[in-house]
Amino acid sequence: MQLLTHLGRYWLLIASLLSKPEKLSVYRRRVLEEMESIGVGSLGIVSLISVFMGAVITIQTVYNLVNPLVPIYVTGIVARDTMIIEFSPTIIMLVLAGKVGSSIASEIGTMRVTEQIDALEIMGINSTGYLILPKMIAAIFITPFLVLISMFVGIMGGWLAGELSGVIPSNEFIKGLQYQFIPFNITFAIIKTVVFAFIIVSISSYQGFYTQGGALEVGQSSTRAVVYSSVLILIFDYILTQLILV
Amino acid sequence: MIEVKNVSKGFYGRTVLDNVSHVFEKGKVNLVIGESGSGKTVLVKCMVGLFDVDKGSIEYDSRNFSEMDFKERRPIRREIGMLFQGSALFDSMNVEQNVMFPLMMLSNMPLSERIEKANLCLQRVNLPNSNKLFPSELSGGMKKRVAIARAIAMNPKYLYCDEPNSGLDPRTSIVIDELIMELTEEYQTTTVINTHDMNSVMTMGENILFIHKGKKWWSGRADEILHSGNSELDEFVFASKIMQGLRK
Repeated sequence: MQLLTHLGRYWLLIASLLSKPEKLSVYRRRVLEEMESIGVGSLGIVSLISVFMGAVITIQTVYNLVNPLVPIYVTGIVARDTMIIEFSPTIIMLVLAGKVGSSIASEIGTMRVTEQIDALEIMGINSTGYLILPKMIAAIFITPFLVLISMFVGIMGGWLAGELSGVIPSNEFIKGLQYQFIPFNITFAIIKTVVFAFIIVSISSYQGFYTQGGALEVGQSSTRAVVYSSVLILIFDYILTQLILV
Repeated sequence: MIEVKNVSKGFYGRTVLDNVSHVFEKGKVNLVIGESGSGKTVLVKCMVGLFDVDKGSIEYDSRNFSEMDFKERRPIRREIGMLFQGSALFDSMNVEQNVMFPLMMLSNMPLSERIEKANLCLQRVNLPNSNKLFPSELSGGMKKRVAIARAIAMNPKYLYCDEPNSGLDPRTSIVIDELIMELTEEYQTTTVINTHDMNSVMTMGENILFIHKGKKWWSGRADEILHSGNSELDEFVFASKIMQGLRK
């Protein structure tokens, strides 16, 4: 019963985002601010994780490919496809669920418990539209770029690790990168990213928006936002893979 | 004028407000008083539309607010200014941006006029030269003043104040009370204050509504409150030693 209540409130919250904004210029500026916060603010952590994951994938693949019948350039294929299909869209979005999701839930939750949301509503401003819609638009537009950067940096990390450790020559790695490349994999990754961005912002905003109490409850909302977003990302990762790739 | 007619409100089967009716008069400071948990905050939240009433109606100058949907309420909401207990200033904005916020969202004023209006409001609440400070850099009294400046930025017809003196020292409380009285006179607002500060009640009480156990228990003026003959009201009014001394 409680699940149905949450689902009902969640969809009402999403529906309330669709009402006409009070002032488009203000919303445009807020979208740009959110893009900077979500996109530029996450660039460092995304690049750092990607470069090391690409490096680890390359070294572990070489280490496990001991069969002389398997050509060494397969390492490049594995690094490329792992980064593009799974690592960049899914793992990076799980990281963003932690970083961006908790930030959204705690920001909106704090505004709720300190009556800032009530102040917006008394002024006659659509509080969900003003607070959540710019975050949603910003996340849906900026996260695909983060994921594309992650793919590039991760593959570069793999190449660099292979080169520095001497486990795979550059020409073999690049040959693997180019071998039977399927461009649709990038489209698939972007579709997943957009869905995951929607999940992160909507779930985190919902948790923040319906926070009741004080600092303790804001912390709990923030934790729930990360946990629920992460679980839903994994579930939708499976569903989308099944629907689109199989 | 705000008219509350037979308003009832409950949560999870528990009645919090029971058939409350009262008229809040224009150009006067109207006080809602009562013990903690008596239902006065719920009444004020129903009046501003944060809660929907279960029964009865709330009318702003004969416009039935409780029957309107979100969009229909907008014109009335733009005539309402509210001072929250915790000030409710937007943390991410400085003082000037906070005061300009309703003007930015709800009017078509150019930036220069908005800044001018914000400066006027800040001067009115005796807070000049603080425009670029953020809420975290302000004292409790300064926050209240900024919140008042934001509330009066749109020239409201109705001004609500939820516990305006909570957390303030006695001297600052008096300053805030005087400011609210002056603004009510100046803008001819219908001011509704939710308080249990007896000093404020005695200073500003032109029209007092005493809520007890969710019901309207007594209403009158400050000079009548000391001789009401109402035992529940006397218990509330003379709870402190100072007020007991005053009675003697």
